[in-house]
Amino acid sequence: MKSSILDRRAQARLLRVLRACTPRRPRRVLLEEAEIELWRLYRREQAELLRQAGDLRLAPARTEARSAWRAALRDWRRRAAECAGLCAHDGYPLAPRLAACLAHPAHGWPAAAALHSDAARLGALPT
Amino acid sequence: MKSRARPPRRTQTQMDASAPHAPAAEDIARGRMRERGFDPGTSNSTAIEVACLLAGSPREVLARIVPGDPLGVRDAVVAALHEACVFLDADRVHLRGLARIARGAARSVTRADLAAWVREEVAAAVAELLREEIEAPRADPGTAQAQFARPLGLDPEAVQRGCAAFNRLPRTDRAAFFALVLRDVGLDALARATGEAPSELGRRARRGLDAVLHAHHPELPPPTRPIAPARDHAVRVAKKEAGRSAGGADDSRQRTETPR
Repeated sequence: MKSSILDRRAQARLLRVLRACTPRRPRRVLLEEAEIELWRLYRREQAELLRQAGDLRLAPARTEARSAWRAALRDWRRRAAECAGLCAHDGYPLAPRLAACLAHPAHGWPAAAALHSDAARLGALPT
Repeated sequence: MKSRARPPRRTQTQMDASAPHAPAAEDIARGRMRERGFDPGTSNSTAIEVACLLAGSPREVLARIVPGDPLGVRDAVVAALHEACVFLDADRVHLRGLARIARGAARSVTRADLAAWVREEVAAAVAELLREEIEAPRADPGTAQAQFARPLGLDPEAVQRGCAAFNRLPRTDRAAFFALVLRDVGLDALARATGEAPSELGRRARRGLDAVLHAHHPELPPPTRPIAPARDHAVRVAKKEAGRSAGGADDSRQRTETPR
């Protein structure tokens, strides 16, 4: 008979699992595992940059909002350039559309929908 | 006992010959230390080691901080998980923490306290993983929960769901469950330590257990006794009022929230 989690023995087994899962000292990791995790971090960072690029794609119509947009664009370019430089140095790939955004002025960027879809694709990480 | 062989003492001529190289190396180290926010005037060899450890690109930093764990990230992970009272895979937190530290070493130039910065990055890794657990829950067969659940005949996915539900509880509930159920601290001792009523601590720990159990059987009603319906409550209040008006002593049973 399949035991229910509500019976006492199953609850005792569950508590054994939970006790085993209490905060413990993690095992020593290999450098390869850490490098894969760093690659995931880069992917998430690139996804975030692409999402922001999609939002910044078009300059706002109102003149008073333009200065804030320009400041946001400058900040974005600084962060994207830093990310691209580190990716190149560390040998991780840079998303092609992110590279295109860095190479061109904002009005020459790919469409916002394309940037957002790239961001969603990069954000969905392989396990 | 044999005495250890000492390295040969350098002659004055040898020291003079190597003199031009020494200041250059020192200047580089001092430059790196200034970059990292350390004061060269009060520097010691540890500060130089740390500054050199965090120099370069994230991958280079990673290659230095993974072998031997010189920054004590593993201890910081244990401390962060104990502090947060959550069921998370410590190995995942460790990996995320290492990656964040390697990335952050290139980004943040100044830092006053390296240990505090490492703790912050690990705490951020815990918060990030908890957020991901809520946003995109996934059944990972490699987690500690799944590995321990399978040999005991429990459904690994249900255990993971239960742990995720537990992690969403308020911290006070989680802390009570950790202390009373997992660390087996006595109820009275915990009540003395926290200054809270034992009944309240018990209720909190029970909520923790309920969260885990409910993930296994979502179709069942919550196992804790529900709060009395409004009609019963009104009846009890009316009885209490009647007792007061009659001048009788207040029955302690009437004070309880749940019907017996």
